[in-house]
Amino acid sequence: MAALHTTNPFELFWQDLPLPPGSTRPPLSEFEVECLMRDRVSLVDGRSNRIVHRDGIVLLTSHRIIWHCQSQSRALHGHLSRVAEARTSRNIFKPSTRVHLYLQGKVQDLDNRPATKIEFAHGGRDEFLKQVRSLLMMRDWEKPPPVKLRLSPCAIEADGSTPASMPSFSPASPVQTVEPVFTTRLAGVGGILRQQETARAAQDRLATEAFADLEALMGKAREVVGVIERYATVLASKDKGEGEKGGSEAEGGTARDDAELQGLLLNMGISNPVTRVSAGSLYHQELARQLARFLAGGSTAAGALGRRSLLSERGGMMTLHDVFCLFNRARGTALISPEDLLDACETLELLQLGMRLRRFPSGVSVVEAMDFSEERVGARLRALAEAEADGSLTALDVATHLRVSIALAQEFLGTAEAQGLLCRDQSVQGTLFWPNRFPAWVAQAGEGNNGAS
Amino acid sequence: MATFKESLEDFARKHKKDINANPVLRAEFNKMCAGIGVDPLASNKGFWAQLLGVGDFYYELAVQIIEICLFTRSLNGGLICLSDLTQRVQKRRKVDKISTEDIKIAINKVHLLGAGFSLLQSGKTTLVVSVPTELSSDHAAILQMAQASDSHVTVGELVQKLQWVEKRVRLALDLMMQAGMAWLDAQGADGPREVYWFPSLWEEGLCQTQRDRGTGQGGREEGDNRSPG
Repeated sequence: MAALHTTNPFELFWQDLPLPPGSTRPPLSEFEVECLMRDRVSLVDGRSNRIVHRDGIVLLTSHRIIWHCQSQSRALHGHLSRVAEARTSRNIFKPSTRVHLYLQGKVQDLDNRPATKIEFAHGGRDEFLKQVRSLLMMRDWEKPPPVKLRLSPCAIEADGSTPASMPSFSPASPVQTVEPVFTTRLAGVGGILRQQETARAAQDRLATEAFADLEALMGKAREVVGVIERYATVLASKDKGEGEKGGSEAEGGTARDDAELQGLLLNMGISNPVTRVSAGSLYHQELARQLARFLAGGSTAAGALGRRSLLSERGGMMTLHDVFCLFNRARGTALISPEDLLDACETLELLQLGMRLRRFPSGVSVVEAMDFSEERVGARLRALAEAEADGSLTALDVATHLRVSIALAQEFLGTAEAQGLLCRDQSVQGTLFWPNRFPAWVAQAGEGNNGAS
Repeated sequence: MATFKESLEDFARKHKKDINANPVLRAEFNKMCAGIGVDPLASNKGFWAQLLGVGDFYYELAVQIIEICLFTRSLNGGLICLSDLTQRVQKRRKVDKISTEDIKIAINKVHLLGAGFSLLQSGKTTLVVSVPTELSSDHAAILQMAQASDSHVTVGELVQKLQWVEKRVRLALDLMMQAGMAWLDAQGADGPREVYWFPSLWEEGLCQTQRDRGTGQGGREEGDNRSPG
């Protein structure tokens, strides 16, 4: 489709985006941020005004417009840098649900310039337009990746202690990796000190400039992130060093709290939190998917490192309160309300995301991994009972084997009993559960009778 | 770095709306906060939150409250004193004054998420419970203790050995009583004290006693009475 010498803006702008096998979601690059998502959006050829691709999901990122259609497993994308202007039709007599994208090129008469169009027949056009315009202003793709500022670890000491007190850094620390042109000014202890002084000055300048106001922060954000991330790495390596020395228990308290908080924040960042504005009518669905990915540990650093998922670390079950806290933490400032969380949790099972909402008779609500589903637990309990030395189970046995609480173990046993897999034997010593052999006996007895007659 | 930290905290307080409105900036802002250990949840209570309880203020507070409960759970089993909790939240929110009333409102805000996270009045102190019995492992710990001491325990023993507050012990024992797993003997063998028995452990307790006797440590009276043959 993408002919080399075409002048049709549609073909110039939209390019095929190969999806990774097994994925329905286009991959994003490192600094790309998801901004907006709308469903039932069609792509229109601006020249012929005909719909070329109908009813897909459009995803606007800080760098690109991506259109994909799950049923056709097809995706197209166009880079925002090629867009000169985005607007709606100027014809006030012909209301339209389309956004016109004008491509970069020779300046011509605006209204006769060919455009490629995106149709929002089911709403969402204005939000899209607003967001595209703001992204075109920001031109995020032009910003350099976080600069490796010439910062020595000493210069970014939190307490501003003197460099001389920092002998613990290995030769691999950043100050050595940056190799400035050698002059005598940079030689010796004096040189190192001078270098550190320069770095610290640069950083102070950055702090003052970047935090002057919101606009300034937008412009300098990536630089600041660079500095801070480096700082975090240094801090982490320092902590590790202290840990090896045995650590000082006396500090404890707040310091440990802070460290925990920081660890939590670093480990569980969701860089593209789904929001009501970004996902529109897809909101609760997308939120449920993001939540499932988060709990399964897929998108987190913990998951990437091959550790157990968040949910299985907590026994395959988490109260909604804990989920509310950890999920919101990972989302940073884009909090979701308890109502939205509840809605998303109710969608989990429907979307077959491997977990679901479960409500206990006591009113406690949890998200549980699907391997806690009733049939599976019933079968597991029966197998467990058969494997026991005396052939029976107590709630305590179940609690120890499945690593769940006793209250939950009791409920599991009750469920298995209701399924006819286990039988209750109540005595002074408590309640024992045995594998239910009655159906087998009945069947056997039936066969015997048949044989006799 | 201190300048960065202060500026970030300031921004988190003042510009939350603007930051949230711009996904690119939000992502970067959150990265900054994470790297430097600034809590990005620091909205002002503001006029509307004060008046109607709307806005993110109480949700933010709820996140911080549950977080503190999560961190301290390994120490207290999900029971924390309201005043202690308030102090810890206050430490996080450097500027705003947080009252126990705020904490209560925040906890009520997340009531929709089900039971299991609630306030519990115990004498003069108010406790916050963050682990529902369905997910608590305290009962298992008590049974383990009972297993090691001839299938019975007292509240005092548990408080001492497990280093729990008495309320925590009693909560767990009460549930086990209700479930019929524990029996209460109000007149223990050694005088007037409450002894909790676990009949489901009797058999195992007996074996223990026999072993004890075998090694010459001597069994307790109760065990001897029930020893077979």
